[in-house]
Amino acid sequence: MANLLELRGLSKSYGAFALQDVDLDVPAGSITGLVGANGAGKSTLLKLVLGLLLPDAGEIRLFGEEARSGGARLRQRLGFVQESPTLFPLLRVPELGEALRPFYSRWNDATYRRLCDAFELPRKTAFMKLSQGSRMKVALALALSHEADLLLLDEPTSGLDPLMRRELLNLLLEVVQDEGRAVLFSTHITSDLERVADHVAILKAGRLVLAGATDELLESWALVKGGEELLAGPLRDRCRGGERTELGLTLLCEGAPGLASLLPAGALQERPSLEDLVYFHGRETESLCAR
Amino acid sequence: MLPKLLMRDLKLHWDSLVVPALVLGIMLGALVLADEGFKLTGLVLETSFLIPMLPLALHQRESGKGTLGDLLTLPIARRDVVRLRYLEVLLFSAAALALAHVYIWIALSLGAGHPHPLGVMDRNQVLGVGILLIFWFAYPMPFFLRWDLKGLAFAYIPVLVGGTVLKLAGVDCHRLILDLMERPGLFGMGLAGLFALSYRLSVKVFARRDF
Repeated sequence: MANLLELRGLSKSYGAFALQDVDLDVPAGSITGLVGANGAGKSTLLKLVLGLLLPDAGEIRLFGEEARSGGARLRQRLGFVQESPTLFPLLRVPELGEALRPFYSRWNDATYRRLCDAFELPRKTAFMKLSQGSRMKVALALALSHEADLLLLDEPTSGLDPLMRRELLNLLLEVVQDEGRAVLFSTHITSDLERVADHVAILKAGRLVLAGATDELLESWALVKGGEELLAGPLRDRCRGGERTELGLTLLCEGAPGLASLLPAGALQERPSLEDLVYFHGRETESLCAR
Repeated sequence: MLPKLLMRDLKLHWDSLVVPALVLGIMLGALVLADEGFKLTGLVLETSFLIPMLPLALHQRESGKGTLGDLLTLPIARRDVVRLRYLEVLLFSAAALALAHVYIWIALSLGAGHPHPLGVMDRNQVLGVGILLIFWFAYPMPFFLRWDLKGLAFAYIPVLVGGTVLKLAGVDCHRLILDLMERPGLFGMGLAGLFALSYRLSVKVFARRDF
């Protein structure tokens, strides 16, 4: 499966923030979720791919080509939806399509109309008067109507109600039915990713700490719960983060399949959720994990 | 690509263009009717004084409303955005000058105002319009594209300080410019050169900027 997006050693710093040495692949026919807390670097990474930010170091390859040299031509194949879409505020839904159509060689009016109907978007309301959910739908309809091969979505579900979120996620699944297309979307709502993402990449403080196929990641990590005796055994070598509370210890350990034999009596092993991976990875490592 | 971007700008910013156009129209009308001794050719310079700021205002509006990011995610080169602003200043200036001439023609037809003895638009006025384009647009544009509104301060504060120092030193810059205008061909080429230099600098700074 070809990669539509490849990042190698991508770094960018500004102010106190630094995105450091990120390697990431987005294969065709897949949904890749970029997850992390606010300020982890998700939007920075997407902006780098879009060319809004210029990297300090590293390489961005889009559709097999170096992104900067491909520039405008490659952006024909990119669709971008941001958390708070800022499109032409006074234009109505049909006029928004007309305004963007001239820029895209693969623009499809029929697709735009179909999506607007499917999303039940009002035709006579100015964009600025639409609800957050409807704005997001308009932005998505626009991104899909020029038949983008790679959709970049920055927190697309954050302002949506549960029903609309589910609709959006279903739509993303439809998009990647076409094997030549892919979606990279950032979110801090990990349940969305567990529902649809084939791959996830977890960013923490500007570093990509985990990346891979969602199922494989969840299978290969484990949450171990128990008392202080957890730290006395070999578990400590596999620990990559955790938490000490009044109830005991919770450790995030790698190498889940072979872990059971290392557990002390009374310890519990659980399959982590993505949220657990995001939360526990790198947490309290100095006191809990071998270095 | 430029016609598409221009159409986009007109669609996106029609509301902000209508107001200056109306103000300009009212101002020109008022100037024609206000003073019996008023020289109509002054309208041309009045007009060209205002217009060069418009593309900067449009760009600032895009930046403030967040649509600049949308613009830059379209399949266009950053250079096209800069080109658009330089094209706009020429088009808007031409449109405003044409409007000014329509006013002059109407006013003269009605017997109001006084035309300049050398004609509606003499040589120095043409060069004067060029100076205003350079001073209010081409000179600040690279600063503005790099630092937004702060860039205007970076551009004009040294000019104010330098101008004051020269004035205190007894240098008459106005006279100096008028003397230079005695060689209109060379002066015109100089203005065109400055415009081209400004464009090149603007393209460079805009290409290296993060958004």
